[in-house]
Amino acid sequence: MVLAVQSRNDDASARQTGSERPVLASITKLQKRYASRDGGEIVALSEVSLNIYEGEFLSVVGPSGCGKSTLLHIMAGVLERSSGELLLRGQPIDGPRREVGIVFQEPLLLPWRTVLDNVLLPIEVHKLPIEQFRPRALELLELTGLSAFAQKYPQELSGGMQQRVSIARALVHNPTIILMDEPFGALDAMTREQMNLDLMKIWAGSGKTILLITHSISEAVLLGDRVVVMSPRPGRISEVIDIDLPRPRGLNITATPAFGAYAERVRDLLFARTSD
Amino acid sequence: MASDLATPTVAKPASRSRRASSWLTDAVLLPLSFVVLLALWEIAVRVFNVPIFIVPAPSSVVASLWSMASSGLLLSQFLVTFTEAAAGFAIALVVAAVFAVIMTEWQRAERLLYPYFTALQSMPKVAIAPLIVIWFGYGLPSKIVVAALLSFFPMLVSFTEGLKATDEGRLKLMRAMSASRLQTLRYVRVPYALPFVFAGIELGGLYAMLGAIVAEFVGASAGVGNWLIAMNVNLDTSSTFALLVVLALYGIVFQKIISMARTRALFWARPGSPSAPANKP
Repeated sequence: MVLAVQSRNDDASARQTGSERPVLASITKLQKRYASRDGGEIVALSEVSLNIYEGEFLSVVGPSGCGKSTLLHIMAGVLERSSGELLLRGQPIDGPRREVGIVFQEPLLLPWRTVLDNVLLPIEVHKLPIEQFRPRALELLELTGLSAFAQKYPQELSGGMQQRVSIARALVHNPTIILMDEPFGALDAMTREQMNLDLMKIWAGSGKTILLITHSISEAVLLGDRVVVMSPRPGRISEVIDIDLPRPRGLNITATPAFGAYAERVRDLLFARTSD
Repeated sequence: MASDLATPTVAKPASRSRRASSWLTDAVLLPLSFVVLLALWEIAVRVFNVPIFIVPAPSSVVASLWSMASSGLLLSQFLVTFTEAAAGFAIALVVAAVFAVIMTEWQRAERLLYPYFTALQSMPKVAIAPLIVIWFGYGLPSKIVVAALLSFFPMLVSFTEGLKATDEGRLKLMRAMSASRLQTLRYVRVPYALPFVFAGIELGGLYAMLGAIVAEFVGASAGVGNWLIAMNVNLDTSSTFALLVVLALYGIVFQKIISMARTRALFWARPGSPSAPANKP
């Protein structure tokens, strides 16, 4: 079940404090400004600085308009920044990069391709040898519980299953970092919890770094090694909270006082900022 | 999660009975009404003694059709017109596809080219057919040009519309994978354009036939259009009707083939979406 990558983060205790690990990506004074219609300026991101560490699960939570999606799109290289610096392993990100995998809010599968061929799409686009990656694609489908559906078409799958396919697609070309833009926002609550557990399972031991954008406080705390809390107008980071909860985490952890305390702190930060 | 897959089965009984009733309409009521219509026509012509050069009875149309077919003339003349139409259609298809891609990939090209195409389209091409016969002669080329001109515009419009039909999300997905323009076109834009492409091809094919016949009206030494004019001069209305029947049959067969190809190619289109194959007539 372990993905075909180096599993250097097997030691669960090393997970707990991200700062002990090497920096994968560094964001320094990142700004994104738009010209507004009345000639003024909208600051979507204001001087955002953040280090992302190798192999960590980083949750980003914030209200609408806090720029969290903008941040993700800039990191994905599909949106230009106005100023600031963005480095991935010391290399500036100025466009889409192969080391990055993306999961969007919608599965965005291609309906005329089978599930397997959808997963292999990045391989084709990056002109990598398909035959070489087919076993990996099948392994990812097994990991996401979709082995039986490899030859089905996306429209034969439920919404949750389609989103699993898109997660497998984001992982197939073995990216270092996976950016997830509210991937479970369109799913019902129960499917969403199942997806959270599955995502942790996929991530555990994969050595991948995940940046997850979410609206959900409990999702952010349950999944994250750290939770970045953002606030709007202008979009900025209000605080980064280390989540010192043992792994592997199950849904029962959400009932513990420690989890409740973290969730409360995130909530306080969110409401302190939005009420003014 | 697998239970989600079971939901479509709930809808089955209702759709089966609807299918049964549409089968009844298609296979029984439609042919029956056709036979009744023909019988009424035959009776009316005989009872009111309508001259054969005004409206021929179905029986005499069938007789003309038989003599035209058995002489081998029908097939040879039809093939002339069909070849002209097919060649014109093929040229128009390629040119429309190329311009559709250019105009959707470069906005400036669209702003620059579209006014010319609109001007071309607003010109009644039937009216310029005589001019084209002067330029390209009495033979095959002038027919091909008119057929191409007539079928070009409907195809250009639907291809352009189709290439714009891909949703922003999937384009963003392709951008995130640093896909080239050509890859985006191949993996996303063209497949999403297919429903529109089929609609364009259907229209274009019919217009190409129309163009070939009109050009033959203007001046030709062979073909269905040429023949129709000759029959009209001879007041051979019965043969004219027979040819019209053949042309109608051709149209039906052509549309049927396109619709079958569409169903095969667009198996992924969801029923109910505008891209889904049209319900059976």
